[in-house]
Amino acid sequence: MLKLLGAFLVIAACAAGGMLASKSLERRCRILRGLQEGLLALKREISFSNSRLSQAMAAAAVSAGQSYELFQLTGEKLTEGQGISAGEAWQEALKEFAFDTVLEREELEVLQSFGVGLGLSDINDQINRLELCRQRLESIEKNAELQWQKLGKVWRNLGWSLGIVLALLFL
Amino acid sequence: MPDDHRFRRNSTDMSGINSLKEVLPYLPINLRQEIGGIDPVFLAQLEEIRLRQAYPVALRFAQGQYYLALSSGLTQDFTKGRILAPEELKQIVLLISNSSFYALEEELRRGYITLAGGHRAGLCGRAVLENGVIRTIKEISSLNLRVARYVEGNGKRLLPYLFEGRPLRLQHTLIVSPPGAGKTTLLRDLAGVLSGNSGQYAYNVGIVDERSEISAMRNGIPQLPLGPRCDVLDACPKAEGMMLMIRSMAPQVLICDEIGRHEDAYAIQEAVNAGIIVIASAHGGSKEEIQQRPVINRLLEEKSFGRIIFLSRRQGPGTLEGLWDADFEPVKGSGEDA
Repeated sequence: MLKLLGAFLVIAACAAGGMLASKSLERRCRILRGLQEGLLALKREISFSNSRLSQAMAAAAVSAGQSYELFQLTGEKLTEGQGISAGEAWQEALKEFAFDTVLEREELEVLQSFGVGLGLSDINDQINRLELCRQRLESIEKNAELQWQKLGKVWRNLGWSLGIVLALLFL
Repeated sequence: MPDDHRFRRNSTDMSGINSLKEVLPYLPINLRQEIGGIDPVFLAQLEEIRLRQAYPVALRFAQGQYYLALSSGLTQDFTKGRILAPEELKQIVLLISNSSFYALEEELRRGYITLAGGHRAGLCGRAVLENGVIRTIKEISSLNLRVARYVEGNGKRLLPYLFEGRPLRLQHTLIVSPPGAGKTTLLRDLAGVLSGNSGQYAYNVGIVDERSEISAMRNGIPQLPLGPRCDVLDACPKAEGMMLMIRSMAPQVLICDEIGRHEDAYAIQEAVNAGIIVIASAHGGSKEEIQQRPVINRLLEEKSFGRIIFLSRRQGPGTLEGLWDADFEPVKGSGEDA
């Protein structure tokens, strides 16, 4: 009886591990999509409303789905900041945001380079930078999507399979 | 500290200190602390903070210009002045633009940014042109933070002398002074009193504020107190604005700053013919100087203005040098504070 319970727990743990690995691939895609939506909203705020970054970031947070925290944190830091630049606020927010997300080095580098000079140049330059960052994230998202489609199922099945094999070995 | 008798020790102006408190957050913390450490008697009279990259920080008071001393306090010797580092200037630009330099293109085209509280940051740098027109200013090299201060009382004391005839009728008035001698302050004060903030008068006042100096509008809210019956047309060219104001708001009194172009004179004539009282200002150091300005001289020759007020900085900004009627006959003795 105890063996059966142990086998069940092994299978469940391995299956959950596989599911988590699959979910993190899916989550990465959602975060990348959210970032693009946020950047689009930021672009709208800057080009049409001519909003200051603190307000524009707050508006972008609303559209950014699972990535809302990055925009919200940047906006908050700018509002309360004592002489902090938009770039610094973005980098600090990015550190906090990246800590509990599944972002990889590739997209983190894109986001870090976007922060350099944020808010410091004229409107055309800002919009070009926004668009460039969004396009780079879009291409990363396409690869992440392919990866999820390919590996998502694999991870799930691998979890179950590994659990069953281990359970059989223990039995 | 300069031992200057012109800084009256018994008259620390709290409104001056409060105005300065609104400006200091636009400076980096260390500079903020250094300026904040100056004697409040001096600080209350601070008018401008001039910040030039790699040069000493200059502070302009009503009584004269000093440098922020390297040690502490003030000095008149610029070699002992506290140098402004390029990074500090960049930080100040960040602070005044709220890290959104791109959002200030319209303001940069005009060369200054209106800050909360009506204070003003004038900028110098490299102009970027587009089709021969300034699109923006980049590589900012110097900044002038002008501390706005609402001075109450000048207009109220002066206003009775701007009426004439039976029944008493407010006269078209021209305020003349060199820059920084209190023209705009007096215009603002007159606008407030005439529009009823003291309860004595109740005119509908239209203000055409081309340079956003009279009302210091920010997001549609005047940052400096006007009166309850004031309508402000902000950042609009004067002549166009005056015509627009006449058509749209039917003011009884029309106020505008720094007239001087031919189209301004035409718009003033239109307003006068429409029965609207015009109160305007113009740059000039003396009667002779303004008579050399063709547009102003024409208006004076046509006796468009029933009152001409001359101000100077002789005893501080707003010193009344003369109050004359259309024939340049004195209405009131000169030499008193306006």
